[in-house]
Amino acid sequence: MKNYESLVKKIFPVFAMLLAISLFPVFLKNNYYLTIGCQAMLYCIVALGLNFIVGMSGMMTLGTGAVYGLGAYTSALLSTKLGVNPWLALIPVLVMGWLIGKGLGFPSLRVQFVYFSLVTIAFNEIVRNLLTNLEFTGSGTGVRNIPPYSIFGFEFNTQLRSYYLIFAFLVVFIIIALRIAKSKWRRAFIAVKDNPEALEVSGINVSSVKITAFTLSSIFGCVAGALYAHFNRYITPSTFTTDLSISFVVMLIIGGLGNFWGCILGAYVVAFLPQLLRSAGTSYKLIYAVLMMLAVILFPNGIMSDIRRSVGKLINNGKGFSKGGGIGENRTGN
Amino acid sequence: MKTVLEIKNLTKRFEGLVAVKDVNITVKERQIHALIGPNGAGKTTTLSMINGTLEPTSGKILFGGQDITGMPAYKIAQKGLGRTFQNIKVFGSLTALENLMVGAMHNNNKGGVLRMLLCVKETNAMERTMREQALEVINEIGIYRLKDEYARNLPYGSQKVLELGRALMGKPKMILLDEPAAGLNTSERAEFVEILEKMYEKGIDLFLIEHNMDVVMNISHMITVLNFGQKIAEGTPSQIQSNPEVIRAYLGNRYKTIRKTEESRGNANAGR
Repeated sequence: MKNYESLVKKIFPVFAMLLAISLFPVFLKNNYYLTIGCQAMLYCIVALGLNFIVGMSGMMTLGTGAVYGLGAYTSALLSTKLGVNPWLALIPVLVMGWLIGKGLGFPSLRVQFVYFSLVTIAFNEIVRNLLTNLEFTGSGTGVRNIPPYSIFGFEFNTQLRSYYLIFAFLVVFIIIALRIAKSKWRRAFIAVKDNPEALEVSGINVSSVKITAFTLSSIFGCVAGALYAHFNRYITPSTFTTDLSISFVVMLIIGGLGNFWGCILGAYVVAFLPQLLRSAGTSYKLIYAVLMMLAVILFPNGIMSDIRRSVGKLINNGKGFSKGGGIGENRTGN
Repeated sequence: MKTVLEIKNLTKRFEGLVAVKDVNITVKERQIHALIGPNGAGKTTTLSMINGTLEPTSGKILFGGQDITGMPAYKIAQKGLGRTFQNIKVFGSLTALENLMVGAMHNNNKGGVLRMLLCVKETNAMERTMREQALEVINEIGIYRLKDEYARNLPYGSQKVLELGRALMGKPKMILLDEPAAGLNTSERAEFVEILEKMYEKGIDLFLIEHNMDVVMNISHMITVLNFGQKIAEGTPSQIQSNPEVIRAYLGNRYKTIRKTEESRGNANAGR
């Protein structure tokens, strides 16, 4: 019975959040806000995936924009040029994600820290330049007239319909992310960040753990990209810049690295804040930047992590680290 | 007695420096084997070569009769050779219990992420086994009360046993310990030695580097002494204590005199 209760306790916040997201269109029927709502959910998916690399494994990748873009282009080109059903195109998109994961994971085994970030920036720029210059990808004008998803003739062609379609995908990815976050993989990813050598002598192949993190993340990113392509119906290479990659990382940093709730919150903040600041006119970028800086200064561990910590402190009422015991406890008994 | 670990003509060269030169060590089954020597003698280098974190320049390492020279560290660990480090290496942002569970991962690592997502029941069962095993081990090493603390918040001594516990989780045949007693006070050291002896009784062979002569002389059956990368002596603790070259290179004359006075006192007592 106790088990059941704890399960309810754990699932309840997620359920409440999903309910809130699903009710969003009821309150904001405006198409403009619905579009941003869709955008935010797509960002959520990408951020949840990116969390495996940046948040858990501690590798700062700045190539997510390209991953998102490659997912979008794969699906868009297949459905416009070859007439492949968008649903069917999801399979090549998954394969694409898998391939990128293997490919991006490989340099992470050789270069570390800032150098790795530089490699991923280069990857992003290469992809963006290729997309801009290849005739096959529609060069600078991108791909137009991308068909929407449809089920038995029911087309997801309005903002509201797309909203619920993306929402369904979000639910699936949240379940996957939560399951991974509860499993040994989370421990392995964090161990890679904390101490790869110790993980290696514990009998785990660090390289394969890193590549797993990349593969997962790229699959999340590619699927989100494909959804974006069929939602927007029109994609250009100028969307998938390093700026976009940076804003994905910003989501994680604002929300809290390695924190599930942080990813969601960060994605919504980054999606909505610029729109809310629209009224500020030309100075919106300035205000946006200042707010971001303030967020980082006030919540150095991310908004979610810091809130959680202070709530935890309130509950424990400053008990802190007093459970102590075992070796080390009797240091005075020398 | 069967041989567990056999090191043949092991050599490691770093550029011009020869860290370990032509070392031969044979570790028998059911033994606690110690490796001692002055700083820079190549002890840790030897250990790292055995568990695969460093690749030897030449020589051979056999574990359980199998050649493990140059194998990646994780494969060697999977063969049942655990290790702890001189400068503690725990996973700071995981709790103590989770740290231990990482140690059991390679025994419960069927399939990749996809399988984990699809086979819910199997995954949950594996997770439960790992947790139960971790609870058992954390009890054994005496830090049960700290199980939900982040490893980085644990006191030094507890981090040290936690590392040992993580090695235990892999169900090893043998554990390599790099200065397990370093930095521990007298009572902590006594507790640690107790845990080591418990492990030995459970059937795990130990190979340790240690500077603390109390620990080395008390628990080990066999001692190998390294100096400037070369083996200068091997034998039982009493043989090593009276070996003139070991005394000159490492133990020092003071150790000899202390021992002599103790012995003569013993003799005098016996005479009375």
